[in-house]
Amino acid sequence: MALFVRTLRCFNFPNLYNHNLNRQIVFLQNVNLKFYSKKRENQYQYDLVVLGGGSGGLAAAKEASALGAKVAVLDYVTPTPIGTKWGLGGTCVNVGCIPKKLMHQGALLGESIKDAASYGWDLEPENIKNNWASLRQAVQNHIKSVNWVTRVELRDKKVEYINGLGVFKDPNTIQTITKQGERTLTAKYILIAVGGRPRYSDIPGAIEYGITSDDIFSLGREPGKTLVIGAGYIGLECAGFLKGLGFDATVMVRSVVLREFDQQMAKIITESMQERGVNFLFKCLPSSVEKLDNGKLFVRWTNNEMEQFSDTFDTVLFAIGRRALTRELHLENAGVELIGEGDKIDVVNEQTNVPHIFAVGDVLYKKPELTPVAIHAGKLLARRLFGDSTMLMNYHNVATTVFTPMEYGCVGLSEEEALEQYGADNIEVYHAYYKPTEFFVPQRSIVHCYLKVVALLEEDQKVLGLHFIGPHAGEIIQGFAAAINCNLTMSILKNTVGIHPTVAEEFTRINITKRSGKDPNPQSCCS
Amino acid sequence: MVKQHQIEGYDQFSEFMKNFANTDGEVYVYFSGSKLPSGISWCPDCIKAKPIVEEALKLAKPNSHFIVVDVGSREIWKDRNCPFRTDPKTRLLVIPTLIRWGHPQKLEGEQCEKPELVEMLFTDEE
Repeated sequence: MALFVRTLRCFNFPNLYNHNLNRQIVFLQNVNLKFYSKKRENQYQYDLVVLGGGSGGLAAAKEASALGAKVAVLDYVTPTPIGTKWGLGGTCVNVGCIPKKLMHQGALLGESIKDAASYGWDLEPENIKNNWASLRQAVQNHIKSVNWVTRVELRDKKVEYINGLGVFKDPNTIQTITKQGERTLTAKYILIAVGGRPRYSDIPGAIEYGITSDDIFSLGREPGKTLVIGAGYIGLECAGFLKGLGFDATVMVRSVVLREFDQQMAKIITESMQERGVNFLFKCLPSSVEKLDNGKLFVRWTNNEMEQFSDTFDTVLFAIGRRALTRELHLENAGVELIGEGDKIDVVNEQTNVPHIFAVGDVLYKKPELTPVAIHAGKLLARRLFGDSTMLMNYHNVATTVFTPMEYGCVGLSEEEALEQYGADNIEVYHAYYKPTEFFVPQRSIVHCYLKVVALLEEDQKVLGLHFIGPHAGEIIQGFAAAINCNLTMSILKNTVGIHPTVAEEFTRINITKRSGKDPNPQSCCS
Repeated sequence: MVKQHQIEGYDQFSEFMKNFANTDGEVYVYFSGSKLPSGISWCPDCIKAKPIVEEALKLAKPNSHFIVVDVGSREIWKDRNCPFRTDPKTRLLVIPTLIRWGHPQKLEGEQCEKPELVEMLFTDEE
């Protein structure tokens, strides 16, 4: 009876009435005719089956189980072309944020050791060298322990974990093959949270000899001289930490760097990486990868003027984008529709076109592909389905950080987006270059330490976007994301007292507008 | 048949692990509080976990080793500098702690009282 009541309750969200009228009607019909009766017959084995044990799927599964639902999670990793595979937890834990951040930290430590000599530490920075095998092992050990803790948590929270690829047999039935044999699971609700995987360029040798971010963090040999194809955040981060660890790194850019981000900031990040010795090949497209007798990879490419180039590399890493893993699910058996070129799923409040099938995470059309977004959406969805909640996911003003050697953190609108949405006459952009105190002693380059605030011009100047390039950008931008969600204005920001000496305080000191044409460079060290 | 070993204190543990050459099977190490003269451990959580761990151990592969390490008296364990806490190989935070040696599988404190978790530790194949 309790479940029955909950079932009714979850169809009473005000949110379901706001958005898509057609969908709303389908949904309500189903309430009356289909789900309502089926639940009473108690004909499903599970209240919720989750396809994909990554950030979003696991968060939803654990929350649903805690609310009393019977839940199963299916997770399966198809090995990469060179055979890399991993455990439960999804992209972030295994081949994404976590190993990336650790390798980024490894690279930053190399810089710190060099700085340390200036701070009086008696060492020989010129002789330091990173041991790839040790770093890889440390990173992989951490991942393995996270995999274990995840399995313990699922078991402890009574979520059934099935190591198999789940596919739809019909709208309420999932089939899978595990080591123990074939299984069929029926569920009242199904959550698609299968995420995505990197794509390879459609050129000879790409799949045979190339690797992706799925392989780099567990690569059994030193990456050596590496060509990264693609200049999105994944490509830049990989090139950045590889260079920091001592490897020659080149980024091949098709059109623009960090397409999804503020282009002025992207330009500064590019220059900052070039200053550190990362090579960039602009307006170039790869044409082939061949393996030479000595094991090295011979890469040919052309630029936009059709000039041909070639070079040899030890590693070619494709970071040209990711594909949602929806094709594998036999969605046609459930009637779930895909949209766009990326095989994505369009949702309204995580609900697909099939009312009892939901989706979160990187499979979603036009939503930020970020772990905390998936986690939050998954949790809120579970609370709406199995608890009393009506709280909806807010996909706006999500802060993020690109962990390039000089980090770039941002939240809200880019300058371009603000100009487009509000018009140049209604936007004020504050900006400043700044000098981190700790950079003076080791004489580190400060020329790329820059921040800007995009605000409305009138009245209190509501802040629309914050952008920061510098050390610890992620740590800095997080708190400001909360401020933006509290309707931060320029007058509040300017009246906030800073912490001295930090780099975060620069946001409170910012006072030069682009419109004024004044020099955004600091006047002296302590001005 | 799982081979069982009983170790008392850090010195013996350290010496045993140094000489322990295991070529086959998994090695499980179970850290708990030493027994009082009455024959039972001074650590109440260890007493609760003991039957659960012993029962689940039956599921371990027969070529496994099960090493029970009594960390010492309450006084020894509560010392912040207790070598079981500081040794990077153990870094214990709580007792009981059950570890598949050299692997990520580890259960701490109350987790050792949950049969479903302890069984998973002894049978996990990932």
